[in-house]
Amino acid sequence: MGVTIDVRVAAVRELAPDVRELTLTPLNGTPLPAFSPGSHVVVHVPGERTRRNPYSLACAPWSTDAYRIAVRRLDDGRGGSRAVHEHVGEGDVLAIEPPRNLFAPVVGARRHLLVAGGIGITPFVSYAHQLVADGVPFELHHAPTGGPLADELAALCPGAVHAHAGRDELMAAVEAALDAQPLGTHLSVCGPPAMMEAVCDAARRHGWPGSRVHLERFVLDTGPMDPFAVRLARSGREIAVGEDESLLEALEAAGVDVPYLCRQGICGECRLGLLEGTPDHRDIFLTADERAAGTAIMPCVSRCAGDGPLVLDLA
Amino acid sequence: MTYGVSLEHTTLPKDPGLRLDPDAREHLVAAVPAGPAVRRLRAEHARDGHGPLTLLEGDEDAVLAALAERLAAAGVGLRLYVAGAEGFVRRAVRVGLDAGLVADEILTEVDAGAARDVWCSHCKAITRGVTTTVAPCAGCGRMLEVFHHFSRRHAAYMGFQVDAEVPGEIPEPEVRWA
Ligand code: FES
Repeated sequence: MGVTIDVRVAAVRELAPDVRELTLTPLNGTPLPAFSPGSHVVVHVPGERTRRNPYSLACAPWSTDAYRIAVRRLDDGRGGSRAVHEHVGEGDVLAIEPPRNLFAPVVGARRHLLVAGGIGITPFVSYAHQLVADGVPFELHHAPTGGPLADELAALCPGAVHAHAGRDELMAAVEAALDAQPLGTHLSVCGPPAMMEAVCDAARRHGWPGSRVHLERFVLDTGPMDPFAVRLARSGREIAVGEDESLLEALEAAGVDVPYLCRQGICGECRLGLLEGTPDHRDIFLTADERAAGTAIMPCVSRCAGDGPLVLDLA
Repeated sequence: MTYGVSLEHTTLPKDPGLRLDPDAREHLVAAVPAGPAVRRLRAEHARDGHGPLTLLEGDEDAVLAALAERLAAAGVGLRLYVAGAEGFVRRAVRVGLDAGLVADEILTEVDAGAARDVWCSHCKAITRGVTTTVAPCAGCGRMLEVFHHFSRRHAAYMGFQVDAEVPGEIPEPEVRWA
């Protein structure tokens, strides 16, 4: 599973009725690693079974004495974020993995247009700190209005942060902003899937090529979490995947090490060979051809269509 | 003689051809001369383009200057279409990238002569309109061998002194980019 860093939950604050912010400080005074804007950490969330959930770091990239993450309570059967809300309190010790980045600002961008929906504002906290420090111009549009993180950003960069009451107001502002950006601007978007799709669609209609549009898929549509079985082809082992865990988590719990980065079906790191069975692909990494071939699966998010078993090319 | 520059590892410019990008909301055309490729593009624009199409006219230098000026005031959503002689096309692409366009926003077609601009790795001068595999540098007079290595920064192909190892041993120039 790689190195972990033990941190103390120094403070817990309610950002919204269903969003809780944790301030994480190092245990023994050794500074935490500095990170690049847009980075996340994987938090090992205690509970009946340990979860490993990715959260964006919502603080300045040079904030090495304390990290902040915002956790939204999701009642979709994935126990991780619920466990944070129910079981994690001030003073607790958590293990986190060192920061990684799948959403770094484009190097050489002369201006940034940032669009956030809901808790999708979190990666832009580190962006804003860095861009202000570097003197790179940007504008951030987010909805809904209010919230401590948004207020903090508005204070950090007055004039660059635009709060909108709801989705319609946000989209109207984004449509206008898309027509008013000088060459050299890049667009970065983070939020719920439907909102990100709407922004991507607007960008295309306004003539933005895909290479200028960057997405942090924060909340994936997960779909139902039905249990199923897998078999490891090379050892013949059978492993049951429960309704409250991912295939990756079930493999980890059974002591099978699978490399991963994002745990969100984006990066491709966890790809496994699939020998038999009908997968229910939920990642956004595999191409349509690869899906059709049915010979690979991303276990961090994808499941089985039916009871299985899926036969994996693993020992 | 080799310089560790192999064909597989070099970045040679590719020219996808002037095809209208129907998603763009503004189309800027730099073509010297404006030939059949531009006529085709205009026809496509009349059929399914939205947003204005502007053709920059004049000689190469005038068009490049006008291009830089237009792009300085342009917004994201613009596509640049470039056609003409190889050297001009490369220089116009450089102007576009410098102005903040990304490669996907520039469509190119070489339709007026393949003569290359060559950057001398010794004196740094650029020799324009090179048609032969070996040619004298306009800056220092060395005989340069033109390599399959394109420098985006200089918008020119790299040239190395051909007789650096055995002075005076100069192969017969071969016309290749007429
Ligand atoms: S860990 Fe990134 S796709 Fe699975």
